[in-house]
Amino acid sequence: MDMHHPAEPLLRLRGVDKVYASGTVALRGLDLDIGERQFISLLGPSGCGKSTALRLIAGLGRHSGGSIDWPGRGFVPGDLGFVFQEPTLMPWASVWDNVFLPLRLRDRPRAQVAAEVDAALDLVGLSGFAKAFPRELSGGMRMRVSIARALVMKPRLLLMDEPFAALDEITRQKLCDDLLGIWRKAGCTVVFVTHSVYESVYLSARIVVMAARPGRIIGEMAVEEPYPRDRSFRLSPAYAEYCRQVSGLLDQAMGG
Amino acid sequence: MSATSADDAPVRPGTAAADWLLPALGGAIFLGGWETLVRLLGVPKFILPAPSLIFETLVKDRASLLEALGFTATITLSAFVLAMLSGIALGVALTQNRMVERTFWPYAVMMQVTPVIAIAPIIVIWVGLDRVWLALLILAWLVAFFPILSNTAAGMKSVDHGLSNVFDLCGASRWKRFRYLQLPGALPYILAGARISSGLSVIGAVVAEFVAGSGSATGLAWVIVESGSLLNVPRMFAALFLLSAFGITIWLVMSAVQRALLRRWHESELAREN
Ligand SMILES: Nc1ncnc2c1ncn2[C@@H]1O[C@H](COP(=O)(O)OP(=O)(O)O)[C@@H](O)[C@H]1O
Ligand SMILES: [Mg+2]
Repeated sequence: MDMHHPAEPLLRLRGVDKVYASGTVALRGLDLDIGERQFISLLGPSGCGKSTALRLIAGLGRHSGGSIDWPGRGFVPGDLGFVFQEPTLMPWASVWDNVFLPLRLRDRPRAQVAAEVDAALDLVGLSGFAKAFPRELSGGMRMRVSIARALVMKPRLLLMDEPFAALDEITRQKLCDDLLGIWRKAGCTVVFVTHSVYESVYLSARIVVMAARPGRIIGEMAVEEPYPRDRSFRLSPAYAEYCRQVSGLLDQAMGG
Repeated sequence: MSATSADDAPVRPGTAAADWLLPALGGAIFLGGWETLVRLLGVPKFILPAPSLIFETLVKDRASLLEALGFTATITLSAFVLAMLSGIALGVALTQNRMVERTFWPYAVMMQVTPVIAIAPIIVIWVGLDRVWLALLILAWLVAFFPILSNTAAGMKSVDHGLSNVFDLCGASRWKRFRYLQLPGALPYILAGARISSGLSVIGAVVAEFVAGSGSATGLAWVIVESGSLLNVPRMFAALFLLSAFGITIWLVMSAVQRALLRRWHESELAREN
């Protein structure tokens, strides 16, 4: 709902710096407002601090300077889901138990939340695989489990760090399509890290382009194509034009 | 990643049948050849008794042999259970804190590399000759303990970094992290250690009895020593047979436990399903 109130974003980064103990300046002066229910991509060459930015937002590391705030009603545990590049599933647990994990870690009784776990599995189209073990699934299905696990707490913000980078092109396109559907049903904000121009244009309403050494934002672009998007968008001249523009920005980022 | 190693596993023809039939066939041929040679060459029974004579002795002396087996089995299994409990507990404790680990690890290694035979006489003196069983138990435990300790410690530290991040994100307490992440992750390591240990505890119990053995020890190792001094070689072989049968049984049980617990998820058990 807050989509029309840019003054009150879900998340606000101001002048965020990150210097690692090794001396690497991973981020320098990052300013970013992320609105409610937006789909944003962070795009940039490898090493430009995309993962670092996500980890700082998630609280998996301390920033060295600046501020990261949740202006609205503040941060509540469970507001945040994270999907890593690897599915990071527990190989010893069934699909159901893997998705149940965040609830279990917060002392929610199994019987009480069974419906929530089932709903999350249903959302990613894996209802029939609750009892399967991760190694019995394909790479794409494992990633779906990982997404279900990230969404089971109904977070307001879903962070995804190059989740489809390790998948083949066909699986990736299918997952992109499905992700848009999942996002609309879940009604959360997505920050999607990628180094693929095509992925970022297809998925997001807003593309933030980053450059390395030091990691910073060098530009930003809106993709005004309305949702729901489907394969016809991928084949449209508008899509090609967006890709061309974003590639131009990315060239700038690589050029330094 | 997991798929490749399963695909790369060599396809063994008729695995189940081959696993049992081939060794059984080989054993039968070996025993047959042994029997034939002994009879043809007329080897005296105090040098090499024929398998049939060993079997006869087994049946004839079954009461005393089974009693000795019971004694050795009790020592071995008790030592193994103790080693499991203490090894897992200490392995977990050691890895909770880097400083604790650094402090105690060298001593754990020292314990491992000290040949148990060398400390047997001291242990026997400490616990007293009237309680040799206790000395045997301690010695067998010492031998069996280390693989479980070191494997538990290795398993506890093998936690997947990405999964660890997931637990961080969910604000998992130390206990939950242990219960739902470290312990299940360490299970394959612990079971591998347990399998090694189960064999070592048999060896430990036997060696300890050889060294510490006196009239009051009545295990299979002592039967072998005693029969040897009386040149009762068939009885020696009978005892030896029981020892290896016991060892094989333990090993099979441990393998079955390992398979049952890891069957659905761990690489080490994958090839079996293809
Ligand atoms: N834990 C770390 N310790 C030290 N340097 C790091 C660490 N993580 C990342 N870096 C460095 O910070 C920079 C940004 O890394 P990262 O955020 O992973 O970039 P990206 O995800 O865009 O590829 C790189 O130069 C990387 O080497
Ligand atoms: Mg990265």
